Amino acid sequence: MKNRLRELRAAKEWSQADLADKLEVSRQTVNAIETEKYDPSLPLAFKVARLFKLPIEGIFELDKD
Amino acid sequence: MKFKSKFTLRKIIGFIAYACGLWAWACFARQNHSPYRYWLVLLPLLPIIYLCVIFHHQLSEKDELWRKIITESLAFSATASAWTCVSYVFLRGMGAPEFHPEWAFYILVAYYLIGYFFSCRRYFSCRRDK
Repeated sequence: MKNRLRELRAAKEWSQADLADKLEVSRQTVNAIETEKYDPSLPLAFKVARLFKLPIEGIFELDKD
Repeated sequence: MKFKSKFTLRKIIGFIAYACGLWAWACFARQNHSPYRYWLVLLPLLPIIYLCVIFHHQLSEKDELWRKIITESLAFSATASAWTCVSYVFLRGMGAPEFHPEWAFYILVAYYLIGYFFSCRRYFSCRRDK
């Protein structure tokens, strides 16, 4: 699954640790989501969407293949 | 941090209870000739069950990625250990050395560490942004 988390975080000038604190997860989790090695759970995806005031599909995109 | 200290304290209490239970079991089981003496095994067993519950609570309160990594490592460890033990049955017939029960613990830990290494490698990258 692709995502725009890195881009959105950079726009807010937050570090991975800042974002992790806001989402109440570890920095490693934020890093793993940004590098697309880990797909977040639905509750976490909702948290991310709420934090950036965007719909979930505006942040996460399912791979076409 | 609040959870960490809460679990640490409970685990220390559990391990102390386990050590005391083990010591009491060793003392009483030798002296007691009652047919019910085998029930004394509950002395160290109950703290072990308590420790397992604590471990389960600690795992369920972890960050979702860490929970996944630990769960994957445990699943790998359980599966690989089970297959190793089953494979030993065939090796025993071929003259393999006698299997000691404590080896199962070492095998579980070794497979857990292998699973943990590969699971971390799967999810973590060296790239870190400030």
